[in-house]
Amino acid sequence: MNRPRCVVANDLSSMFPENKSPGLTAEFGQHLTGCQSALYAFITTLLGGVEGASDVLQETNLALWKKAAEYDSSQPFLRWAYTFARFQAMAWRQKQARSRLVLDDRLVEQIAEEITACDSGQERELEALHHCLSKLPQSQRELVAERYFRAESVNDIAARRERPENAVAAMLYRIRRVLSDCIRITLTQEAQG
Amino acid sequence: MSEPNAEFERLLAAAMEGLADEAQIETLRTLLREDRDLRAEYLAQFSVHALLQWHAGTVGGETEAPAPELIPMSNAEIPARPPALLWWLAAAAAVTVLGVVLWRAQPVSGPPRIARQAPVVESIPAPAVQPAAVPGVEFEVLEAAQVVLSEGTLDFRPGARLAASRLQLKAGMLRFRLTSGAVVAVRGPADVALLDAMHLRVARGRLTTDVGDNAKGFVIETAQANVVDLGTKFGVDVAGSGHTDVVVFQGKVELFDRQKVQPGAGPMAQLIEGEAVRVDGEQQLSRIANVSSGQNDEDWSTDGTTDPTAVIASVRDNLHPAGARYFYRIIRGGMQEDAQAFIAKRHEWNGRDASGMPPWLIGADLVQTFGTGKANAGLELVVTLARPGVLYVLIDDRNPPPAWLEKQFANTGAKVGLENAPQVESGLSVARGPGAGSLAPFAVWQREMPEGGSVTLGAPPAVSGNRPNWMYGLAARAL
Repeated sequence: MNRPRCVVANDLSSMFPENKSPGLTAEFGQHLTGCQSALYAFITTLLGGVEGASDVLQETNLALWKKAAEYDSSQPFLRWAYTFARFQAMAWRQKQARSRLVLDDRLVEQIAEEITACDSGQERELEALHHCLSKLPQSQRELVAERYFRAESVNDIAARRERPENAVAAMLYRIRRVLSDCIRITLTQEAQG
Repeated sequence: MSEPNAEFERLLAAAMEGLADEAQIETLRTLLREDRDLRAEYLAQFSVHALLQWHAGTVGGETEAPAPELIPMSNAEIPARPPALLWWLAAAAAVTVLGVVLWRAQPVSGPPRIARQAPVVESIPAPAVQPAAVPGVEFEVLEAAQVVLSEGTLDFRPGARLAASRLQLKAGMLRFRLTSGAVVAVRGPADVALLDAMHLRVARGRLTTDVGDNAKGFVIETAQANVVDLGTKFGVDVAGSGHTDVVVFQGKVELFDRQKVQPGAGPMAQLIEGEAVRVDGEQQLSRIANVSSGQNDEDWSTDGTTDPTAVIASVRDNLHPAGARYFYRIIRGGMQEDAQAFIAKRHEWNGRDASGMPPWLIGADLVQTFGTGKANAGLELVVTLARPGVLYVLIDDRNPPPAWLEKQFANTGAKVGLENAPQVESGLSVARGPGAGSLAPFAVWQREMPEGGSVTLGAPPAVSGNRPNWMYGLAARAL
């Protein structure tokens, strides 16, 4: 995984004597900051949607913060953080009506394993996404803006465009696939220098 | 990876948008269990979905850049939830930056905070008492309206380049641009020392300042506080009674204690767009709930409107979290196409098609309210009309009307559009004119108030799913 780009010697715990958590180092903070979008994506995937994802991320952050001393810095941070996120996601799922969940428990475990096994380290993915958005045709950028930047529901977009809801959902699906391919290619090209 | 099959694509696309029924979800699960490639496609879709949400800044249910949050006092005093997500990012980021950030000890459950460093404000000798426009700090006159100087007269033609160390206005309004690029409007009576192109000292009067991008760090000094601009449009009103009012219309400012100016000292407060405070002689801060405005940027008041034609006198809420500094902005005659709907947001009121908004609504007094969250179910808003009038509530028509609205108001049947403006970060601009942009339908309800007076409104209806939970808008015209 990507290592912190700048080395900071501060020990956060020395500034928070009452925290009694000696693992709260500058490096830990750097890891936590750097993996937020990756954790959010992981949680969203396990939940099968964004509903509850930010709450689960908060609970995960809190758990990581409390368990900072247990982090073995020789191990990938994100993989360690995933175990906490997975636990919190499962806890959230248990409070929901099962029929509303896209994945069942077995699938959640299976997918979580597969993500953890192929952890790519997503710190650069947001930059790649930004680049890839700029390459979309104008009509697709507008649809992305409506759905994500204006946070409109597909129902509202479909009503305004006078298109079936499923047709709009399919358009968004195809745009996400284009973006996913573009992000993968961009990161591969970067890695190859 | 093999190409995902069409059925899977259709099912997943629908499930991601909440359009799939139970049977479809079960079919989707079966496909996912059987095919690793489809699970990879599921991962790719949700990963980009989450990254787009993150990139758009809508994570956490907010649909836009953070606005002042309204939290009832009882909730604000005893936080029930872990610290906000942004807190985590700020806390973690602060550890990573340079290693010289200052931390203040906090309880384990509370957030560590970064102590900001104040700009060093040097002691500056009092300016000489001189007539206006003697050699001093240079400025260009942009507009002058009925200016009466305390001593003598001067020709304030627009475009004239003058220099002064002090401006004393008995009356009128003077708007000028300093060489730093900051544009300052002074409304008399006022007494303003021009110390340099980045620093004014105000003994009395109302100033509205737009510093643009080139004059960040611009300072307005009063007896009670130093107001340091961080790239913004803001107003300062220094009263003879010994207080300073600071109102932020765009961007943000920092307030520093005038009595404790020292290198490294943090600000008393940071105000963002839509916030206003009064600083008294003891440097105590208090919320200013209402800011009344006219049609021009510099026509504002924190003491209620003095305009005899104004219909709305005040808007007050029951939400008083400690440290709350948001205000309701009342704009006389402000309802028109492209009128800004909410404080600190780019959303606008527009007619839903080219025919425009109802003609009887145009020119009404407008209240810029706040977008609220689900935490504000207990909201009570008391609107007071200064004269007989009709009060309009503009409310999202896609939700059932709340009981308080049905009980006290009548639906006019007319609708306007709320333009769901894209975030600044999207690079997209807000559409102009009626019928343009992404318009959500808002119904116009009305209540005639032949005696004027006050009416108490409730919370906007709670909204489920991912639709934005819009606050309602308010407007009023005279009967």
